[in-house]
Amino acid sequence: MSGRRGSRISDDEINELISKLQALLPESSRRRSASRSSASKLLKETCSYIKSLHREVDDLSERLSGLMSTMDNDSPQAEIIRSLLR
Amino acid sequence: MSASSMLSSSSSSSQPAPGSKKFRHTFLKNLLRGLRKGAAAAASSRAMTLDERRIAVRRAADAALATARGAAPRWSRSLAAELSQGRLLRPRRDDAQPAASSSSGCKPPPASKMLRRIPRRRRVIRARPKSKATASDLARVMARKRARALREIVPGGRGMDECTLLGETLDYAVSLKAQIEAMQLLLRTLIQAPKEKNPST
Repeated sequence: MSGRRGSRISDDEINELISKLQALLPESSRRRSASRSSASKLLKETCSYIKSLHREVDDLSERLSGLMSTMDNDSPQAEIIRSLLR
Repeated sequence: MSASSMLSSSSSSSQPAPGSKKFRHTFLKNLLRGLRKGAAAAASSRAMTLDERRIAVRRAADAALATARGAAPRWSRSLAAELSQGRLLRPRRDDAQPAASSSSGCKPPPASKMLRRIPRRRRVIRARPKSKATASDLARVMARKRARALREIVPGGRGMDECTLLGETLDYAVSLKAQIEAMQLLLRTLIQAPKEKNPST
């Protein structure tokens, strides 16, 4: 990413964001290449990572909905929920 | 419920950072409230399928996330807006497509071919320097393709320039992780609850 893009933030700031993103990605997909194309790889891995996070939220939503459908007002689970809401 | 009222009804003090415990607590509270509302609605219409229930929980979780995060990041405002408009964000669970295939009309060519092709000006996003195509230009074009995929994943990404997109992506990913951890915690807590009611001591 050269400095002639006319963007409002500096290359340094971009590099900082990139390294923060790299730190966030799971260890197994981290790449050590220093070439410019690693920016593209980083974006691709970030996309995959966020998609996997979405899938996980979906999965948790499914499990949560299944659990809640078995709860009635008297169950200890409902009591936990009520106490958390106080 | 409009997007702005959704976000402003959260606490007026500055929002906790997405990695913090306070954030998790706020999110959980929001989520439980949202679930309770949803459960009340669902009880009247008993015909909810498994999918519908899951989607309802997902929407409640996303709403709780946007509210807990507040109006500071753009993705959060966009997410709240999408939810209040009733639009389903990610209708399908099977997001197994590779990041390279965006939903815009054209399929981007595989990466190896990109390096040998001269990039066509399908549309001018911003004025490019007049220098001849160098490796860095091509890398930039590639990055733009990935940026396009990223824009579709991060709420509100379409309106952002690349630099904003990077920062928003970071914040969004951290917040998603917090959402996941909070929901895992909730599940564990509910699952571990004693199955029968104990006589009070």
